[in-house]
Amino acid sequence: MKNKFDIKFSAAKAEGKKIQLMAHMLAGYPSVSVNKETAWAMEQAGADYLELQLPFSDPLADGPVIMRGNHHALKKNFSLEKGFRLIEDLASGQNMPIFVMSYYNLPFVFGLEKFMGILEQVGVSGVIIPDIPFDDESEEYIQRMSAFKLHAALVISPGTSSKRLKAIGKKASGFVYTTLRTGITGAKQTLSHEGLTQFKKIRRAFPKKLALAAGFGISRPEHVKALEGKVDIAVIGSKLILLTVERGPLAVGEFISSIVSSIVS
Amino acid sequence: MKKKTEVFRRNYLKKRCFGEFGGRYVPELLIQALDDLEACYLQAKTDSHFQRELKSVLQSYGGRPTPLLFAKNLSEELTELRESRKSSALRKQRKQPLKIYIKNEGILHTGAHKLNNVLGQALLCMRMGKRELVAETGAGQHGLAVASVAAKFKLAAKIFMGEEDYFRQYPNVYAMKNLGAKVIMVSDGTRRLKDAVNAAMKYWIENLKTTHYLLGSALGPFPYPLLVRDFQSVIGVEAKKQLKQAEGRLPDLLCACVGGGSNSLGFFTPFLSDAKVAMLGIEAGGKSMKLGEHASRMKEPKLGIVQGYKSYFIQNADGQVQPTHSISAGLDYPGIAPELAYLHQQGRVKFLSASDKEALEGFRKLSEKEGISPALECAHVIGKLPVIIQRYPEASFICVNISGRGDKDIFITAKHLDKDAWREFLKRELRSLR
Ligand SMILES: Cc1ncc(COP(=O)(O)O)c(C=O)c1O
Repeated sequence: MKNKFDIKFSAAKAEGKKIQLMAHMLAGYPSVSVNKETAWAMEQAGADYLELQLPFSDPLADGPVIMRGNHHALKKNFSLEKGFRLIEDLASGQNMPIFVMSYYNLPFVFGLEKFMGILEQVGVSGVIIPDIPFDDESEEYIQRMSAFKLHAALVISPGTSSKRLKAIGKKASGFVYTTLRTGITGAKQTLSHEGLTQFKKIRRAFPKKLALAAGFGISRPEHVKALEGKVDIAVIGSKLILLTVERGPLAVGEFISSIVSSIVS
Repeated sequence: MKKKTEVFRRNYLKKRCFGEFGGRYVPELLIQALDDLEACYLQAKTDSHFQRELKSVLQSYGGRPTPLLFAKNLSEELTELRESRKSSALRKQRKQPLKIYIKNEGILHTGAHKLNNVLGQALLCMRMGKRELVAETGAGQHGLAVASVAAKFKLAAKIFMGEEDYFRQYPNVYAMKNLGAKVIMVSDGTRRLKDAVNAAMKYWIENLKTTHYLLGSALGPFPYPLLVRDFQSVIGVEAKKQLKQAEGRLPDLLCACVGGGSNSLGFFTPFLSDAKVAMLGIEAGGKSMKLGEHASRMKEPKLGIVQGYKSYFIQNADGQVQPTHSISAGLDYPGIAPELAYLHQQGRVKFLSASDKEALEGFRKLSEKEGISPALECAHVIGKLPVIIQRYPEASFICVNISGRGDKDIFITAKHLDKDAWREFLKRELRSLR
């Protein structure tokens, strides 16, 4: 299976890009219009991929910043219908391949096939659903996703055993996302030791070509720099959301630019 | 029937679900901790030393067995009510007396059934070499049990509680703090039990190595629904023996209130293979059946996956969990135990809801008739009895589980039943605090 993500990812690899960036955004927070401006700023600044989170009432893996953003968006009547419209606008209005992040209840209640059919139609590259851990049901889920030409990116953590990593590596599609600590989302001053020392174990268990992304806690250019050569993609979440809300889309662009230039240098 | 139950149990362990309900829909980083807990529990379950220790603390610390009481006055009143509803032709026949029995978990130390599960899980926590407990609480009864057991076993305890519940059940907050637990108010989302569960689970995720999450009801990701139900089953095991002794047979109907589902499942489980025993769960009907004004998940059951398990949730068409309301904090929750969803689907357990008003009536009725002031949660069942006996005209022998006592609710019940005098009392109290 090859979609927009695969094409962009292998091109960046061929160019010799040391690390790629995935920028996270929460749909409807603070508003749809700010979402669109922010996506534009992210792309201009050199972000490679967009992770778009759909708000949910009970986001189990999210820390206070993203959780409160979820609640804020829902309070302002952000609906799934608006979410699909935003995804469509973002997919046609810019070039970063999009991964939709959502908790399982949204596609489950809407109807998984119907949900994924819509995402495929508007040209989304994949989905990240953090509350489907790897087990019997997730295998079926990955297969069903691939019928829609969508990657089902699996999430792992520093505590995942080598045995599980091996099994996950065999089934993974697109990229595997590892968390940089055993915890919930949230910007941190420093990256944890357990997060930065997990990659050897992961690489040993995974097929060579499988793309690896890492996130949770990245808040400075040095953090991304520290991940160079260790992972293919750095994911930045809470920090960008804080910047968007406190200082606006342009500040998000500036922050991403500062990371991009630190990678080049 | 028995055999079917056995096969089902085995499947449950293998697939970690009850039919299509249950599972463990959680971030990968919780899997190892859940695996460890599952292994620890399955080992403890067959370890006679563990079982002996649990039994011993349930007795010496908890005060088990709890009594079974024939509610004679209540039974007489309901018998009269049933008679008065009969047509005059039927009334000429011999009066069939109703017998209502009360299994009184309110007598248990800390005042509710919650302690059964807390003692079991606290022993598991120590078995896993952990020294800190984290828990959510709604009515404060689970939190109170955790705080007490933590003090007894020298464990640290952090209790998360929704802002709404924190203030409406403040007597329990005070008691928890006094016992040395840290009580953390949760002001996110609906500021109720659901949000306390979210906060406790996140704290656990951040502190997996040292902390055990002591979930208070038969829900959440596997193995919680299984182990909470098992630890609570002591209620039903005792009741079955006591009821047989009292009447020489099993009852026609069991009734319990359903928040998450732990007291009802603990009460029902030992009777599941007795096909003649009907089972009825009572949910919170709140103020009305309008969305946001009740917590009746079974009214229009909507399947979902929230807080790590698949079951029925009060949610909108987008799958967003919706606000709930109940006069009792312990029933004010949008999800329900996956095993109860399964038993409902199988037709084994039926559900009705009782309104806030019926709960208050139930509270007053049991106080006046039997000298037992129930917690508002189980007062829902008593308040619904006039309807229940109509729905089950054949039932003449009924047992109600009184899950807790009503001390924690004085500020709520007084507001409705003794408003003016209570205001005067509070004024005096305020003056004395100056
Ligand atoms: C006295 C009492 N009864 C019932 C409940 C409801 O919980 P469950 O359905 O798990 O028994 C609670 C919960 O806080 C409670 O405190």
